[in-house]
Amino acid sequence: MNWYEDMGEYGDIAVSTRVRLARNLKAYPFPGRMSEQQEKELLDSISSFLTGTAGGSAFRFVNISDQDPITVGSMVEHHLISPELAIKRGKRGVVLSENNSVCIMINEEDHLRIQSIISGLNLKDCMITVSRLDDLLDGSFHYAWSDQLGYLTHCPTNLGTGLRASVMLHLPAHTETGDIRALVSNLGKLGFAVRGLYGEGSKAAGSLYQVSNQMTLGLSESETVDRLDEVVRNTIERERTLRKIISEKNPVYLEDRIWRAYGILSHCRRITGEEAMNLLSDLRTGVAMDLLKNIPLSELNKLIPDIQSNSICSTEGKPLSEPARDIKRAGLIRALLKKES
Amino acid sequence: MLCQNCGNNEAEYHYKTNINGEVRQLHLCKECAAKLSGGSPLKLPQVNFFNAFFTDLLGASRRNPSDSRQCPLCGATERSILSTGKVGCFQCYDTFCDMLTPFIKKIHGNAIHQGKAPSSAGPEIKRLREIESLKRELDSAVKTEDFERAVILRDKIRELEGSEAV
Repeated sequence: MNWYEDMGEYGDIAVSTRVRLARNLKAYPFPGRMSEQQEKELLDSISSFLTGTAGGSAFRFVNISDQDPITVGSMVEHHLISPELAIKRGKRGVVLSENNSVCIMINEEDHLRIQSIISGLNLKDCMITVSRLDDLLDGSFHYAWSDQLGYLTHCPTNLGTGLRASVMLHLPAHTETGDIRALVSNLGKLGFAVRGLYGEGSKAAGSLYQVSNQMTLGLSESETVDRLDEVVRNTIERERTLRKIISEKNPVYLEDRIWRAYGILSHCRRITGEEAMNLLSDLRTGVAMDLLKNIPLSELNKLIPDIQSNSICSTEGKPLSEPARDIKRAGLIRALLKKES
Repeated sequence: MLCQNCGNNEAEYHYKTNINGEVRQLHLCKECAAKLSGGSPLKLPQVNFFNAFFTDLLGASRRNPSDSRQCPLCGATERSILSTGKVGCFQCYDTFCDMLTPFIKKIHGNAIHQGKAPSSAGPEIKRLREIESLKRELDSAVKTEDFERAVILRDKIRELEGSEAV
């Protein structure tokens, strides 16, 4: 099962949870200063280690340098690799688990980025998964480490645990009321960043936001994860309260907006990515608040990456113009809503 | 996290640029963000500003970074670290310790690493990490009123604390 196919705990608001560890090996300079030969050596040794007996044959390797731009773009849209790995030059790749819930990026900003992604709010399980993989790799490769600075990373901002934990939240009520600005500011003061759907610099399309820790040195992994868990739970509670207030204050406004979204999405013949994301956000709110029945949240979660530009082209097996993508996107959405109605 | 410019206030604005794969990050307080991005903190600071920022951050004496000091392992120089905001290898943290320490303190404060350690870490680090981990388990056992387990954990912690290296 892929990360987006199970609703998970708090699935009405928490779309997915991701945890990644940044690790470097002592045997090589950091990626910015590696020779092509060293990049190849590292790529080969890590990928063959994980896809071989050590990984229990549960992993497959994708050499990013060999992939066409559409496939790479689609992998970014499905959160299987970072935008950084996609645009980087040189030899790089990713080792993926069977269900794509675990990915180990090789030669990204650091030698290794060990990542786990699970639906809903589930920091504990994500942490257990990446920690096990970390132990497995630690058993065979010598990590760059310092007693004071912890795991040594290419960029000093990741020193310490090398841990970045993030939860993707659907916050339409925060967006509607403008409370999102206060949330960004308040969480910033507590050492948490709030970003758009595809990480730093990306837009918060469809009211989807990623909340993640900023601090990596001086806090243990469990303290980091526990703190994030607490702020995310509080944010979810606040979002539920705001939704209730909006709904009680003007129930017709909310219902009208949700049904209008349903009307357009189930009948449109072409739709831009931005319009689709905004209307799907309204639709998701309707499903989460039980105003719309028979549309599983898991299907809506799956649709988010599938309707992005590269993923549409990847499914079609060829590059498509923007108008052609808009037509395909409308078709994908209509098909889902028809199936579920 | 403290503002990387003034080092006094909490950072509220977080910037990141990615130019040809070179990623640079910047965390500023409201005042510094407004001051350094021309009045509007929501406007991304100029790329040139990043260069000036790293130079400022690493101290006035580094305004003319030299290429003379090189990391013996990877060949990184002061200039290469300043221009990218990234070190070249694990050895750079020792080679350029004097230059990097103020930078690391501005990002992370005076913190030292807590949490997991690799198998290659020394036995003393491992002992301390195990005590930390057992203490967390003890807290959780007390919370769930699993007192039988709490007693076992307490004894283990005492035993490990008593085995401090002399």
